[in-house]
Amino acid sequence: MPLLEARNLTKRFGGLVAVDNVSLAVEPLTVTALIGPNGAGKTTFFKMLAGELEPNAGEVFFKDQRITNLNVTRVSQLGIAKSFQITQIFPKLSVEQNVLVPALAATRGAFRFDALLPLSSARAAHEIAERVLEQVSLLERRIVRAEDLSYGEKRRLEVALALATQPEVLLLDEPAAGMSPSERTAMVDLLKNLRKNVTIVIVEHDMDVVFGLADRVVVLQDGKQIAEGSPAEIRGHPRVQEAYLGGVE
Amino acid sequence: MFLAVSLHLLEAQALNGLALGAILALAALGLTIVFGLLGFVNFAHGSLFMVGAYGGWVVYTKTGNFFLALPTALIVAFIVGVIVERILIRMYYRRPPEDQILVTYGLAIILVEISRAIFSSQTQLVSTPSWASGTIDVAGIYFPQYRVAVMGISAIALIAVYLVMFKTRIGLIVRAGIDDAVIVNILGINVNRTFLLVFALGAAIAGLAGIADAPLIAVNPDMGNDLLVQCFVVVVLGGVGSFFGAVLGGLVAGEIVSLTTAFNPDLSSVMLYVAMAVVLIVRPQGLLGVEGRT
Amino acid sequence: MTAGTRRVLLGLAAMAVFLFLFPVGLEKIGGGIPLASRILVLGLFGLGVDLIFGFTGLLSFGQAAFYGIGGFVSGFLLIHGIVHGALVALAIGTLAASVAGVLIGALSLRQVGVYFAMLTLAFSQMFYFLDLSALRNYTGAENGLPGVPRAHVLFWHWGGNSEAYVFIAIVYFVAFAVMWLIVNSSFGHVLRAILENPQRAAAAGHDVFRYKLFAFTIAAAYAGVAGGLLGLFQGYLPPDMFTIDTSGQIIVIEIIGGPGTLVGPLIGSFVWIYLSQVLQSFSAVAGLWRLVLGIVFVLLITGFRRGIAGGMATFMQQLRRRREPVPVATGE
Repeated sequence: MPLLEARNLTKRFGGLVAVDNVSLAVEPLTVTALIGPNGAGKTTFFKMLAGELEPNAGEVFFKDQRITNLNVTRVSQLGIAKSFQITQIFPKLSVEQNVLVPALAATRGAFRFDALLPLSSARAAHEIAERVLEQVSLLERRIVRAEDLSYGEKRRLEVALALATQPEVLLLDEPAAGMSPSERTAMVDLLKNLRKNVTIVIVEHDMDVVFGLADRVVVLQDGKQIAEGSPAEIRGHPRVQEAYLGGVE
Repeated sequence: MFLAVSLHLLEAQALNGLALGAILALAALGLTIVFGLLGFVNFAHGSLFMVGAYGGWVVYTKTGNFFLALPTALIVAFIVGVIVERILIRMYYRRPPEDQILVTYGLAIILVEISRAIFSSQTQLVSTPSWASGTIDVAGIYFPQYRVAVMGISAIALIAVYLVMFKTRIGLIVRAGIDDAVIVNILGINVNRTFLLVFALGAAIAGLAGIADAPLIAVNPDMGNDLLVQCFVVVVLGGVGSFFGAVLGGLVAGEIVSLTTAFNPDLSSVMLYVAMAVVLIVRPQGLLGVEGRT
Repeated sequence: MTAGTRRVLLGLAAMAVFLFLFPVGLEKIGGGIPLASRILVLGLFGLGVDLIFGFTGLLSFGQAAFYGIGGFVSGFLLIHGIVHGALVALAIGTLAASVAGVLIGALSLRQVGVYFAMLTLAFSQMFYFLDLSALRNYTGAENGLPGVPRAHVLFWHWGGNSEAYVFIAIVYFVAFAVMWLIVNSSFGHVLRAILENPQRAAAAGHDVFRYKLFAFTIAAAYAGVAGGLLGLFQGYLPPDMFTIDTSGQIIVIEIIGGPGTLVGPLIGSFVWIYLSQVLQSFSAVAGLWRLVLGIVFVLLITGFRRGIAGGMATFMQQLRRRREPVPVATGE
């Protein structure tokens, strides 16, 4: 049974069809890569999975439960976490304070009025935060203000924020974008570690990352799904080669 | 008979509503253009209304000529608008809305206090010009001439702005910018200068409304406060950035206040804000606004 | 005792000492005990504003509504002898203000930014005009409500200015302590996250609307307490408690004092009230203090958003940093 399933998702913006009838079934504890030239609709598709956008048509199912029009808070509480393509952190909070935000949501639910209990007493949340920071190698930087981090560190924090909600499914939107080669390798190592416990769907442009990591690859172009299969199958796929050869990739 | 009196009162109040609405439409027009194009609400708008009123009043008391007072108000408010935009406002176009609200609120304080320092807090009574001091018979209702004059002044000003906005190139740029400021920028049009002109124009219109309204209300440094909020109501009712929305919203607002007065004077102002809240909750884009424009 | 607890206790002790010395110090610079009371009342009002603006990023231009409701409800109850104890009257007034807070918040908080500000402004004006007209039999319209008795608190009947100050200072202290707990709680941490990045806070799994609503209601409650205290203190409730100027004034106080610092509003109201009272006596500058504050306000918004308290905090931080190695972002 697929853990996360998208059926015939379509999204239109005025006259433009950004995502055209795309379906995807994600099995538990797998890594699925979503690739395609710029403008293929990958991020828009992701947004529909995470509840940021409402599809014009189609449905999203999580553990056989319909989650199609739920908002981001509900989706996050159900166990799907998404990292953002453009880094979305809490700039003036420290790294640790940043990660505590999703950790608090994971341990306390969507709302709790514990206004008279100090933050320091939220043991479970702090434990999650520490563990996650360790995983992304940001533990030594815990007291640094998020806006003072380097670009690569910010991208790692971005992943940490998604991780700290204790998700079953991690949607990563170009987590390694703009990183140096060594940072990229570190990110791939991180993902290889994570995949043992979390189901991952990742949007990526770097083919080495994709082929080293993914169990399945889905290819989008101009909003349409043009191919799906194992990395080896996709590598030799004529339509995929055409999509990339013609483009700026 | 109760019904006859009631109908007569309603008619009179409906007429009053038009006069009130005319002022509100004019005053709010400046606000809505600036809000639509520059994307922020000018909390100093009421103080610009006041600046115009004082500017016109000074000339009026010196020359006794109301026809001089009108353009004076326009020019004075325009100049203040230019100064304020160059010194302060232009730094705020990209800042978050809270900052924009705060800085224009602070600016309002400054303008009000400067006026208070020059003119004192004393309320000035501006006499209606001699050519419009009587009453005129409108279908059995004795209606003050000046209120008709106000409707006339407002109508002329609205038509002038309409012509500029819909029949000139700069108006086209402004309307395009209201729809999509980014595109206008990309097209290489001098956005800075356009913004300056629009802001100053908004100020000028507010100033004109100020002197036009001066014979009807108390002229003092704080006169802009209530007008500011009333303009918000009009902009919300009519829809942000919409010329016709400001006109329609102004007239609707004027009628709401006036007609409610006929039934229950205590609730007339309250109804206005109830209407605003209802619209903001049920249809935030207003009667003529475009969905999604925030 | 953990370091955190020690910090809180030290801070509260410092506040207690300050409250004790405040009227004494104020007298030395031309103020008096009544002035100190006024400053605390506004500082209390500002605590609520700091919560929603300084910590959550909500700019409400309608806090005067809750100030007025709290004041007039508790004042009315005491004037007409419906209630005899100050605490009960305050509690009911605060409850009324809180209910208004929930209602207005529920309707306004679906919007953000300018529309939120305009909605709070509209609701506040509604209450102002209700105060002046429809409810004038209860509120005295332009004349306000005079004759609020100096009520008793439990078995203590306070009469003079000093006793009034003691009562107000105790209320302020408790309110301050509670607010400190709130902002340092997990609940408060989520509010800070909402200030920084509301979309991200929502994506992290928090029900942002409910957090905002609770914070907004707390701020309304604080405004209500402050309003009630004002009535008790000056024996009179003026209609201008409901005006836009009052809403604007508390925002100016918040900015000048420093958002997000809790003591900011206290500093801000000291500046505002002290300047207005003391400068009045110099007729040359009497009217100009507002102009000066307006200019300072604009300058602060433009260049220095942290206000007086924030500036002091940053200054102390930098002093501390000189002694510790600075963690630098390692470019990789």
